[in-house]
Amino acid sequence: MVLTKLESPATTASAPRSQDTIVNIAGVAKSFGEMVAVDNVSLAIRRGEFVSLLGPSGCGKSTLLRMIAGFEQPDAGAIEIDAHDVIDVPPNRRPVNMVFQSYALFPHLNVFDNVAFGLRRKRLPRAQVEADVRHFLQLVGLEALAQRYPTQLSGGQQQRVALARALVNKPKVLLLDEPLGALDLKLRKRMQTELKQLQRDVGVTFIYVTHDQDEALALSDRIAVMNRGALLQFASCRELYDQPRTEFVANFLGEANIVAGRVVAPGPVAVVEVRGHNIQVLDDTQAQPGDQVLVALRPEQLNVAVHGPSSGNVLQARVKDKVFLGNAFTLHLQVDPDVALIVRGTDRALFDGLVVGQAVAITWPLEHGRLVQP
Amino acid sequence: MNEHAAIPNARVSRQPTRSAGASTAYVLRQIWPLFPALAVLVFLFALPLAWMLPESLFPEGQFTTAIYAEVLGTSYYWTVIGRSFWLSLVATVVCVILGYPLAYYLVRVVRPRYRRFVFMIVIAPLFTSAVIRAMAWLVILGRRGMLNETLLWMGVIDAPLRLLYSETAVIIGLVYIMIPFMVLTVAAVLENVNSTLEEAARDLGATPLGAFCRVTFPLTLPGVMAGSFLVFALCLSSYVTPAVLGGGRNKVMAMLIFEQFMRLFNWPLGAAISCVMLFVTLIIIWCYNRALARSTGGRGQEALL
Repeated sequence: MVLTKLESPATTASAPRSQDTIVNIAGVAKSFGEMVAVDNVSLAIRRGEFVSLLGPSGCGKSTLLRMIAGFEQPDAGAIEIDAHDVIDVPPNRRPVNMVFQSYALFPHLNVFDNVAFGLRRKRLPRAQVEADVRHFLQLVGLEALAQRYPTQLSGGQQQRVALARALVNKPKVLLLDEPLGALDLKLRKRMQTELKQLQRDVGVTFIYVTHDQDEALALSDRIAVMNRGALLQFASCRELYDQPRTEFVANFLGEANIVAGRVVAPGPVAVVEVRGHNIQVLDDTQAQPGDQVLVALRPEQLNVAVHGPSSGNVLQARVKDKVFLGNAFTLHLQVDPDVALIVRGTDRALFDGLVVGQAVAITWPLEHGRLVQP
Repeated sequence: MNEHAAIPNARVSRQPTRSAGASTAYVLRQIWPLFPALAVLVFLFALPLAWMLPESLFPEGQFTTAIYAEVLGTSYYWTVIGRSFWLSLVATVVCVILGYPLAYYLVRVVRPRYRRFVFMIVIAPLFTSAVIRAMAWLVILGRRGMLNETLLWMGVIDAPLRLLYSETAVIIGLVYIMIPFMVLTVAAVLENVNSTLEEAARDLGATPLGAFCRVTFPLTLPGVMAGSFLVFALCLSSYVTPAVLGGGRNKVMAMLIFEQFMRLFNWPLGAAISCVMLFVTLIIIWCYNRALARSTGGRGQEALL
């Protein structure tokens, strides 16, 4: 299974540009007045990859996408698409196409003419335009609605028209700016599946902007997490989840208990003192003895035992609250007046056996505790 | 299934409100705010207009089409009608050509916080009387006016140009007065055209000009049409500007009608000319609308007229 296939750490922002790179962004920065939208971002995206730019609103992910499309000019840095510098290339001559958040379908043109728009700008022969449009409308399952106008379509149908309109031009990269944001949850889930399937079918590189971590995890081969204009980490979904580098990434993808401590002994496996307990955690930040550091612990990777071991990675705590969630449960555990941890599990017998106020031991395997940067 | 079951129930429950008394009261409650405007329209517009027809058809209490025969049979009246429409048409076209870029600039280029100020500048001339503004053009276009003096001083011309009291002068004056109406109408529509659509067009390979011609302009066409109607109608009915700048020789319909009513006291003839003018205008608007409906495939433009 995929569990054994861990990505190597070399797949990060600083990776050298290989033959396989389709989009290379190097040191790109952009400010709007005083506001820094994108701050020295570098990333290399491989051909055929599904990459998500993930972050809260205002983190610069959309601005970065718009710079790839050519709608914004970077203040500094370089953008290469398929080994060509595109900084001075206007949007209409870049080999990319975009699916806009609001779809931006032309309201005065019907579905067919919307999809044919790009092909007609290239002055392709009529017959080829006709054939290509039919093919892509079929691909998104809308061939029956070719004569409809955008206002006569549902949100999901408009979404598909926008996809067909972009893909029919056979772009080298498809840019998607929160394309599912306007759809309701159920439809969004279905479109996610369709989108992933579509990407596999056409084999085009997708760069997908979203603020929804679940969506990013479900769709992407790799995710670039951004915050306040900076690229925090660019890695596979598993690596991001298992080896978050910063507190922000740990919190933004999934849930994390962040515990403050002090380094006692440095190294790849560092010893950190947390409220009198010495615990061992993985560290690739090269923390020095005496440094104040943060440890990230995933709620579902923690174990709770009534009679736990007294040595190793163990924190003594009391049960503060227990919450039944149906398919799982959550325990709120108080290690110390200032330190509370959340543990998630599925062991019904354990959950039922615990009472509020009871003393328990929290343990975890070494590889599930990591130092993260603030 | 539940939805189907609910429909008959809804019908039954609505029935009591259908009784005549209740529905009349309901309609009255809904439309009473219209009454003041309706009264003004009826008494100051519809009734005088309705009076025109009998006035021209029953000049001495007896039905006759003689006056209409006179209007339609006299080439002089046709010349004036033709001139009125021609001047209005040219002024409208010039208003579109000058007003559209200005509206585009206002909406797409000027930053939102300055926009209100620039709109005020566009509207400002409307606060002055049309008479004064026409007089201002006398000062500019006159034989020893500012324009001629400047051109003479620069050595571009040897003798003063005859600018005043010509059709050109009338068109200049009309355009100057009407352009705010065009700009405001087009700007209102342009503001509702999402600029993302222009980006989408660029993204799909259109040049800036191509994006404008294929996306922005077609989508603002209803605004251009509405503005054109407004300007054309205002030009056609304008009196002061052609009277002051046309110098009596270039008579237009409004002047002719005014003359018949107020100077010659030939009310039946004045009414007949008014009716002919109204009729021709309605035909033009109808043709225009038909052409518009065909060019846009009858879609999305229904709100215009």
